[in-house]
Amino acid sequence: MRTTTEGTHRGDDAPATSTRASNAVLDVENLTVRYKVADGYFTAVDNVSFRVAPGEQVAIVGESGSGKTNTCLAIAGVLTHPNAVIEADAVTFQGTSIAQRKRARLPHRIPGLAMVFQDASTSLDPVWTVGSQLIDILRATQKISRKNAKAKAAEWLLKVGMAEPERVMKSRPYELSGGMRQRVMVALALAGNPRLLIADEPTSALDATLSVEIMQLLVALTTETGTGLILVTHDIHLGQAFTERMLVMYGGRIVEEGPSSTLDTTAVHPYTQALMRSVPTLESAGLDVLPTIPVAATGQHDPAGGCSFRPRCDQAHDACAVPPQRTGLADGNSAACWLVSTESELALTASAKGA
Amino acid sequence: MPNDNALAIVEVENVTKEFGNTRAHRKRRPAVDGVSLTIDHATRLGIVGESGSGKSTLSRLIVGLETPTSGRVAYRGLNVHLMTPSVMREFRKNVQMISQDTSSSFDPTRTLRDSVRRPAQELLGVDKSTADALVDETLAMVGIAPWMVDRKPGDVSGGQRQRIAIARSLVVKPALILCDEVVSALDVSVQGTVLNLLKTYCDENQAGLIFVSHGLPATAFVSKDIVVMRNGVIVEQGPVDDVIHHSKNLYTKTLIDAYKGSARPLISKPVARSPLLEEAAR
Amino acid sequence: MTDHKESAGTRTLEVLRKQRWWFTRVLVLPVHLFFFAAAVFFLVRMIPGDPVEQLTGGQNVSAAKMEQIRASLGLTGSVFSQFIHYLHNVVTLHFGNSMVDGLSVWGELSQRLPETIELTVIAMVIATALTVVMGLAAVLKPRSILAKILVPYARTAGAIPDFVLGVLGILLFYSTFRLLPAPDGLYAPTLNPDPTVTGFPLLDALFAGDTVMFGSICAHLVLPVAVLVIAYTPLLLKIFLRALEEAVDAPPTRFRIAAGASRKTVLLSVVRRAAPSAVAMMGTLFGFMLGGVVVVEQLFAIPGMGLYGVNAVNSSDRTALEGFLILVATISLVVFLIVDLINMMIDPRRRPGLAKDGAS
Repeated sequence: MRTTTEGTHRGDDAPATSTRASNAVLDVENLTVRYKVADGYFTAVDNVSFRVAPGEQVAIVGESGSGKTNTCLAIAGVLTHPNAVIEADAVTFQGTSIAQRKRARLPHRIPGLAMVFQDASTSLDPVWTVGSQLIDILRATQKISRKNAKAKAAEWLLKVGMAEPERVMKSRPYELSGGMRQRVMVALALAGNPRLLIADEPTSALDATLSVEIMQLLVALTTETGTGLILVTHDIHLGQAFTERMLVMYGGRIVEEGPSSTLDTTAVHPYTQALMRSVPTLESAGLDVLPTIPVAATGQHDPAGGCSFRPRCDQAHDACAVPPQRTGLADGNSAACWLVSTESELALTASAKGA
Repeated sequence: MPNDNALAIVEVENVTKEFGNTRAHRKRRPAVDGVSLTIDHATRLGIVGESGSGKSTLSRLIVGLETPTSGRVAYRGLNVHLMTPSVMREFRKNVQMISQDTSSSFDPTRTLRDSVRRPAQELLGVDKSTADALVDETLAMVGIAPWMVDRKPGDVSGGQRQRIAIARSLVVKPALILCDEVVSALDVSVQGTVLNLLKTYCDENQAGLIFVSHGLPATAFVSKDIVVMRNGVIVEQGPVDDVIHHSKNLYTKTLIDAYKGSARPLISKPVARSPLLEEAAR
Repeated sequence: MTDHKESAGTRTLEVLRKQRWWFTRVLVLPVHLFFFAAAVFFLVRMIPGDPVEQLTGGQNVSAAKMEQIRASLGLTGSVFSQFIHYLHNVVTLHFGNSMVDGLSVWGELSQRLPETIELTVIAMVIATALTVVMGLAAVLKPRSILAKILVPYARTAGAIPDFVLGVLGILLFYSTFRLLPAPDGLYAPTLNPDPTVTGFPLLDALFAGDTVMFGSICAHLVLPVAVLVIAYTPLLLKIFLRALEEAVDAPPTRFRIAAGASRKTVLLSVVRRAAPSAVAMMGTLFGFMLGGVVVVEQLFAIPGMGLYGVNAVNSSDRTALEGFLILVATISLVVFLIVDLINMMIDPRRRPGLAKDGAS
């Protein structure tokens, strides 16, 4: 089903023209990230492809080792690990190719693309005041005087829910509480008015109530400005509550894609189904035993090179020795699993079996 | 709450803990303020609270790692901070604490087997080979192969380390296990395994369990009774079912709401079908 | 009226509390000096042999005369009274006379110090400038030829001894190519020194408008400065490079870039986070150069501090040794103070006593 793009140039700085949805704000085709290790390569991201429409809110859900963070760092161009090898057929942002930029030791920013990280205490620049950091971004992205930038900075701090913007502007990040730091991070990322915001586990380090607050803030602000949002998280319910579409990653590959709100019932891939079942919820609190996914000693990869979930899958069979391609299904889903075929009956039977 | 007939293992009697005594800190409220609890063999108590609620300080008070500013913590009737060395040894064997940060709770220069076996040797007073046998037995319970503990802490995954940390506590057959955020850093698909293990072990071995966490669902699964803490104070306590489904407390209800998935975005977008989804379906 | 006074008082207290970080650090300096002076006092007294015997050197001297000499050396009375006396001398800069040649210790030191300082300061300034430029170049363009040369050079960090470079330099540039003057001191021996204005020969020449002298000093300084720079820059560079690498890969850099900060800001942020360790090393290096570049001084016949110290040790010249140690220590401690203050300015987290978190 995957079409090959026509007219893609591989030369430096040449814009990639795509015949597929050219109105996508981000178009990733076959992104692969590998790390050079002692005896070869370790594949962290394996031929990942997806698109984000302008203003769309998408979740990438996966656990540690799924490759979701590496995917985002590679797209944002800030993966600077010396042993990392990043390859892609194309990565197009707002119509321009960003995959072919020369990889500088100190990466250059991608105008219009912003990213927030999980741990605000380590990601915020400790030696500058919040105010100076905000003003710097405002002046770097818009033509604005110092005085106006200062006012706008205070405005942003109010927007992210700070009660005393003046005091926060004069403070340094380490003088603020965890929740405040996360809000500052959101303000800094959105102050530059990006067209796409990638949020890598933005609330994982926070308590549940604060987490919900910050997520609501994030979604409200990005909706207001029409900014697209990629929410990267291990919390599948968070993804469901705050996004329209969800991509499930496992072992460096996208294993399932579908609308967030219905994915718990329509999930087809055994991993997605197992994940949905095994996450502790208030409902599962009443059970005697929690459903679990059997643990694999080898982490999220199949050393034999087959489907990455095979070692832990209770529905694995012989065909799984070959990694499955992503197949489109009814209702806008797609899944990478041999249980699924293009015939809808088989797809429905498989999901019934796995449910 | 607990069975009145059972002999309490640990009693927390109106315990308060304040940190710091300089002028600047006088304005601070206590980390734990007037908390009382009774824990026995049948207890499976969940302590839930957000960061700053005092739950971690409370756990440290229960196992004697902190001294109360007022009130006392008693083990079988004896004040934990006034125990003779022999009673202290019994206390340490019977009240085991497992914490979140496994990367620093294991000596990085020793094998995991060493780290698991030593407490057994010391607290049970057995020789090396007996201890080794116990270790292997306990490892089987937590689903870790014996060869895996011949490695160093850095060579196993976080989830495996956490289960080995649990084994380390279970090997001495404690009367009370206190878990402080033991599943918070684990992958969701592995959390269930640990939670099941704790619940089953405590049921089968008549061990008490105190499960401290900021995650409500995991705590609710593993506990019979729940205590909700806020700002050092217990704001609600009772059987899990009552607290989760019939809570009268406003704060508890906000906590519960956060997990209900009913927290929708403030601005609701029309749920339009994304053109890309349609294309993907083709 | 009372309100106004109160707020002025509290405001002063508030200001004092905020500035506490630097003046507490400054106040610590005299304490350090005191402890060092005490250490020198006791250590020098532990040098074996009787100083009076040494001074009189086998001459037949009457007991009364010996007592007189002992008194003049400050060795009479209890240890405590000697110590007080000693401290008093240190503070008033009465370092006494050398036991070997009878010259005033302070007199000698005050002449040699400016020469050493000229040499080391110029060398440090050049070394620092080179470190910054080379460090940035190596990190920003890691695949360039420049980087490929610099990184291995940085690894040599002090492995090339300064005297080897010195001898090579003299051989090449003086003996063979006659490009530079002979290693016969700070300036050509035929010239007369200018009237003392600052005590620093180079500056004095400038003030006197003596271009010949100025030129001679510069020419004579080229080799020794070059030797110091080439030998010790790798030390700074190695530290700076590692700090830069770490700073570039650190999460704050990633976030700055990903949030859209200007390139200039990102660079500045990286440098600012990487600077403190290099600055600290600069302080150590400077302290070392004050008394440690003896061989270079010897090689180029520059009458500096290092040579004085070595001679004092070799001849057990206690008074000279005391004076030398205290002077070098004072300057080093002042330099460390400046380094600490600079680092606390660059990285506010290093300031003591500031709140680390707004909430628990």
